[in-house]
Amino acid sequence: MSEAAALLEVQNLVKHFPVGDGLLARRKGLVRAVDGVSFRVPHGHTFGLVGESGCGKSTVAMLLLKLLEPTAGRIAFDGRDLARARGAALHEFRRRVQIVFQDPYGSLDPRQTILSALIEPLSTLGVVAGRARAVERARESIALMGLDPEVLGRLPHELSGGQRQRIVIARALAVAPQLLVLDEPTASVDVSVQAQILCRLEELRGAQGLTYLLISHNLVVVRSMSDVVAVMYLGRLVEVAAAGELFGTPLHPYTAALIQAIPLPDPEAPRVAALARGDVPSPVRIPSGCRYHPRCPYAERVCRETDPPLAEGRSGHLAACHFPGVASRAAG
Amino acid sequence: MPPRDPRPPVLEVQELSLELGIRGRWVPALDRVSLRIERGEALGLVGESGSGKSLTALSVPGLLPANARVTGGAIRVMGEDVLGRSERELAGLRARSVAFVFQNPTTYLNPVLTVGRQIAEVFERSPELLDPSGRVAALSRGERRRRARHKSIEYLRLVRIPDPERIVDQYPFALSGGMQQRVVIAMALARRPHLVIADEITTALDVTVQAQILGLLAELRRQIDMTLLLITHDLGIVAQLADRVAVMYSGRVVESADVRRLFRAPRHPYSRALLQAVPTLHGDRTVFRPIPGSMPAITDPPGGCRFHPRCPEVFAPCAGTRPGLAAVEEGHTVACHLYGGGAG
Amino acid sequence: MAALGVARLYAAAEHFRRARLAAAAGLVFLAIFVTGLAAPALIPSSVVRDVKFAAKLAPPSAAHWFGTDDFGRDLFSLVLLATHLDLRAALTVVGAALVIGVGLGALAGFVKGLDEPLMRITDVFLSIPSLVLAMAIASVLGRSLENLSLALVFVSWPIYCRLMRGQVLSEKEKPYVRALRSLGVGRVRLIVRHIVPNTVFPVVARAPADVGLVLITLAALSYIGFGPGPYVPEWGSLVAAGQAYIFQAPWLVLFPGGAIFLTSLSLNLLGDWARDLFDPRLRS
Repeated sequence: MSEAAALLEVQNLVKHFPVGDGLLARRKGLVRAVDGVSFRVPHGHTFGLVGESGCGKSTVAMLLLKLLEPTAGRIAFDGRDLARARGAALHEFRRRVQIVFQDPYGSLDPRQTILSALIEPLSTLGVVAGRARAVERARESIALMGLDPEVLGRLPHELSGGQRQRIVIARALAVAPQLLVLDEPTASVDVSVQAQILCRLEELRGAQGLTYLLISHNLVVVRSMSDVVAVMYLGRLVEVAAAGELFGTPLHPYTAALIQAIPLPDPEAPRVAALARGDVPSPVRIPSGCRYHPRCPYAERVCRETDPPLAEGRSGHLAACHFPGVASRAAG
Repeated sequence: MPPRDPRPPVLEVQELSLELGIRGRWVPALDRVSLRIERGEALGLVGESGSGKSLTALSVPGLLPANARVTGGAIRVMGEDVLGRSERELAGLRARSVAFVFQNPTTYLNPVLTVGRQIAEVFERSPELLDPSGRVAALSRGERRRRARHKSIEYLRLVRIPDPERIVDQYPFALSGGMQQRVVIAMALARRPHLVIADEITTALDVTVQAQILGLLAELRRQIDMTLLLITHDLGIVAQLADRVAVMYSGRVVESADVRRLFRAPRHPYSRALLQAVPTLHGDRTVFRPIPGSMPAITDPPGGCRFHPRCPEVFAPCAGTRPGLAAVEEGHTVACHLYGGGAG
Repeated sequence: MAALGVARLYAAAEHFRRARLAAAAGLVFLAIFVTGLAAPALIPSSVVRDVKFAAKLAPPSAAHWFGTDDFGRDLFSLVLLATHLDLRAALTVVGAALVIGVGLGALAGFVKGLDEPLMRITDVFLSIPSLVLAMAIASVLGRSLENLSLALVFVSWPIYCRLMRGQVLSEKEKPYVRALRSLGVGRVRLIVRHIVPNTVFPVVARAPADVGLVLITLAALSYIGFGPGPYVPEWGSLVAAGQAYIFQAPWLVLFPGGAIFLTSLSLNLLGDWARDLFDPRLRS
């Protein structure tokens, strides 16, 4: 792990949603969306967070942006605890941390022109003074994402998916943040547009000294951009390692299953292997012991009984498994 | 190469052209698309959004939207013409011959009927499936229902649904996305169709579940010699499942080849660029190169070859003349002036 | 997929038919509206007290286009004056109810603490039949047209409040609202500049039909005797007064009744068309 100062530090982050109903709000159950997540993101790095639906990665993003309040745990940005950030401190935080959500179409007010959508945060966050400066900054961001300035006068429904995705990224960048959280930034665009956007993001990271938290279910995208990758399953991190190390030598069976599940664009390559049995479970009913055991082909009795902690399996490589590396060994 | 089957191909699309009515104008959406699928073959139809792959697939069983009209070409299933058939005849085609599996199983399944009932509907529509000897009329209703249920369980088992006797009485909402998609595949297979069309059937699924479905499809192909038209934007899926691939761009087929040939030596600049734009896990970290520009809107296509404004190898004839299909080797055609397509 | 296309086509055809009807209805309502506007200028209000028993219950003629009522007053003038008063009352009622209902509804949807109490209040209002509620308020305040209008505002605002609250609640969860919050947009600006403009139109689309409804309710109140009396020309009270003479002088009921009918019909058709504008099936 890098020794560089951490821009973002998350400790034992927990978010539980009560499942109850009605006036009396009787608790019928608990959705453990995020159940004890810790990681740190050094300056200038890209941290990748991978997982399938229901793993809690989007909830983590919402918690980091203070769009949700955590049930427990600590989030520190640039050394400062976020818990008590209010008013001016909150504004300053919002200036320095931005998020690009999935669904670029939904992320834009359908009645707002693109120009208006871009300059609004500049004034609400006090980034620039005066409309003229704001318009100029909006133009710059648009150009930075490779878009024609004529999109500024348009409404969201008049643009293509690729353009909208670039616009929401431009909007986030116009604020000049230090940390950019990208939640499935290319899930709704084509392969060629995805390639363009990812390349652009990579260039900008170097040029503007940005730090990224990249959240995606697409391992390949995460691998291509990240320095460190964490795999999330049912509210917990099950493996954390440098990108090359994680994909080269996955220690947790779930990571191996994710990697093996990707169909490679090569007819000669080995077929996909469905290493994970059954379906992605729901965070309302979390299995006993190791959360992954019902789907794991290598589960033993201890896996049903005890929840393995996230521990160092190899140097700088964490895994939450009683038998780390079993999947790689089985593959030979 | 195995000898060509003398029987007619399961699917033959010849020079299919189609227009869409958008904002009061008719806009060409498909431009002389040709495909061919032999028995037991899996053809992958690949393209990005706006390429026309879904429209092509929808035209085969007559499921085009109301604002689409065919302006030329022919579609033949098992040698029989499909275009110009009445809705009733097309419904019959969909009931027995061509099964279409959509992307989102949840919206496809009826939420108020059990899984078993929905599969059994296939047998209600085509009772001859229940009795191969043809004496179906002699069976009582109760007997028919019993057999239909038995067959439904069989098909659930075929698609590897665990505990099918229990699942057959479940409602769709009780099943996960992966299970629902398997049920939909079972419904498709219960018809014993000649052709199964799968339109982005794993796009809505998680990657580990997608791997299971892909494995299932591969096994089914082996087990029941299924003929498959696979629509997808994912080149990995095509590489896994397809025997042959057709690449579409902006309403046209630009390259058509055996899957190995296409991936090893793609000829059309778009195919090549597409393969390079896909990030891959092997090798170094960043191994993808974007294609500059974007797919043209169907309302405003470029003249000549539609890809020419983005093509790294564009030269004189590209802007003016549409390239025709040329065979670069046995079974491998490309629509590109670099390969002497001439005027198409 | 084909079924979806057919549904769209059908909806579009319906919409077109409604649009033509709505155009005709719009013209009719416009004519009535202009009449109402011009009435006080054209007709002196003294007509109301111009009692001439000798000329009472006269049938329509050149001198009296609509005939005369049981006080001998020119019915045509009365109906015209009533147009003015009725329209003014109905439009004011719906306008006020909209402003109050939309405003409170937006607050209820957005501010969690206000939601419960506001919804319980609207529950109370909605559980009482509107006519009864209006009668109760009118009997306390007095039976002038102004008080009746006030009573009807009380009766009408809850439904707009509920509608708006529902819209705001669902809009609030949309991704762009989350995105705007992460961009530092404050709550007030969020409601006023973003949420309300995106949600208010379907609610407002109900208004034309509601104006028709208010007119009929006013007429009904007058009819059962809660009206403002024979010296305030109001369609409902004209009908109520003429009811006793329906066989001798049917024009007393026909003309004011016809005015109520035409106005609320044209408003309803306009309302249909306005609601069609927001029909999600037509969004393409």
